[in-house]
Amino acid sequence: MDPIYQEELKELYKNPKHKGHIANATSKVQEQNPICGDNINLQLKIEDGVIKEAKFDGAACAISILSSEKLLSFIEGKTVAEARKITQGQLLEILGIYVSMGRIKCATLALKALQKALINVS
Amino acid sequence: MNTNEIRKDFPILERKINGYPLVYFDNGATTQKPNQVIDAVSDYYKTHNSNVHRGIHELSEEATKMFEDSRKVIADFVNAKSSDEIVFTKGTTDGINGMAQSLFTKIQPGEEVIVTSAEHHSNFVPWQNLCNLKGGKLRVLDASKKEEFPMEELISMINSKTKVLALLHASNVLGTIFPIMEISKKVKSHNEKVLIVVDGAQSVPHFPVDVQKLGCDFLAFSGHKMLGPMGIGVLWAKKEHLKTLEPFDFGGGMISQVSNEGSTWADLPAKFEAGTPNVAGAIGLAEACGYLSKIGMENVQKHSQELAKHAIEKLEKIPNLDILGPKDPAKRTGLVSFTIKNAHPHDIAAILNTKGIAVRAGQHCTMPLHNALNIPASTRASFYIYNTLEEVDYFVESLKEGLKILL
Repeated sequence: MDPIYQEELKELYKNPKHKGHIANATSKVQEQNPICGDNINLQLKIEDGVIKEAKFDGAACAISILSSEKLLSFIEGKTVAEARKITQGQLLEILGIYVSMGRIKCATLALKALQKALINVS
Repeated sequence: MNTNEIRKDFPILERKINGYPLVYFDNGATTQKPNQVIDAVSDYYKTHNSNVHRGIHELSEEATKMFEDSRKVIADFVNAKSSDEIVFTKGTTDGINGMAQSLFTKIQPGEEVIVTSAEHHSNFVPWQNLCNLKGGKLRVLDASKKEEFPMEELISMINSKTKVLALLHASNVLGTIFPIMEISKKVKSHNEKVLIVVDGAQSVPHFPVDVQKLGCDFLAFSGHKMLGPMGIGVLWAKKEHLKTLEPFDFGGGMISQVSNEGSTWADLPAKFEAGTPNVAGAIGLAEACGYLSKIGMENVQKHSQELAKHAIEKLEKIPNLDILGPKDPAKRTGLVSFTIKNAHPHDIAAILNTKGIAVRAGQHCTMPLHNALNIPASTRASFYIYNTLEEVDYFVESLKEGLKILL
């Protein structure tokens, strides 16, 4: 069985802690994987160059959700400069499960959204 | 038809995927290849390989004859009036793009192209692009939700400005079959100048297609979706159009005379086939046509429809599962697309893959259709001659097991 569908991860992608809305978000971005039909809304609350809070919402597959969850919990408390440096390889390491070539796009959707969200943040 | 015998011709079906026998239900994307096709391509390269229409030597003569004989076989397969109406392309997308490019000078600002909301991007984007470049108007007929083709709506859209009607013959997602014969008749009776371009990618491989009966002007299809090699396809067009339309590719092989002052074009169909053609592909496709003809296209259709009917009956019993397209198996080709509440198609496909089952998940190159249906994505099982009822049962059982994990 694909490791993603094992019990311990199931709880995480079915009830991701970072799913939801930030009422006073300072940065909001929507990112899509049109070919798969994945769509996430990323919201950040940034204060003094530090990501205080991060949340996501939208319709996506388990890998997208899991990687969003893990990425957002990783960046909370980090500076914008630190978050900007996160690479695809690093994200896959944080994700910690095997991702097949066909699903790299799913796994990196949240990272793409994050990079977009941080473009205009000073 | 004997599925067990047919299966023996397909070496790939012996493969195990994740420890399970391969169940290949992604035939809408591409079909597998029988030994006959693989051997025909291999034999060409091993014993006849040469460029065509050029060399005055034995091999070139052989290759040219094989290439042109293939054209004749394919012409007969779709009942074209002559081989000259068969233009070899890279595939359906290439054929439609070529047509759109050839029509570049024929579209004036304000003139209209009609497509349907169910089109594959390959029969949508080229026309959208043409309209954008020429100031034309792209009009989209919503054909996503209705059990029957929306004939009245289509006819109400036809006017003196309509230049092109581009539409599918069979949907790669809904499985719907559009009544092209009736559509052509009605559309032409309102405006005989409308050029009707048909995407035959999902029809020619799955049921008998007679281009003379359809009444359309162009029909494009792909070899690889009907047991043939990748990279070969056909654009069929009425001879009168091929005579008057401009070529879309230029270079060697398609000219009659070239001078500093200008060039003239070769006779049909060479006029539309610039550069060295995919000779091995054409030979492989002709072999595939022969293979299908031997089974009989009526039998091919009946078999896939039976599998789809069986799949629909079983899938319908799964809670929160919605089947896209008409429920009546007689109104569709051998594929079933569906959505399941709270289960993303990618996860469904990934879980089925762990059981050796190949299905397609996503938007299947039909974003306007998925938007019209208001769904982010879908899962598609598409069947062909080597699939069995047992495989459908195994697929449904595996899906049910998978849903226990996902939901």
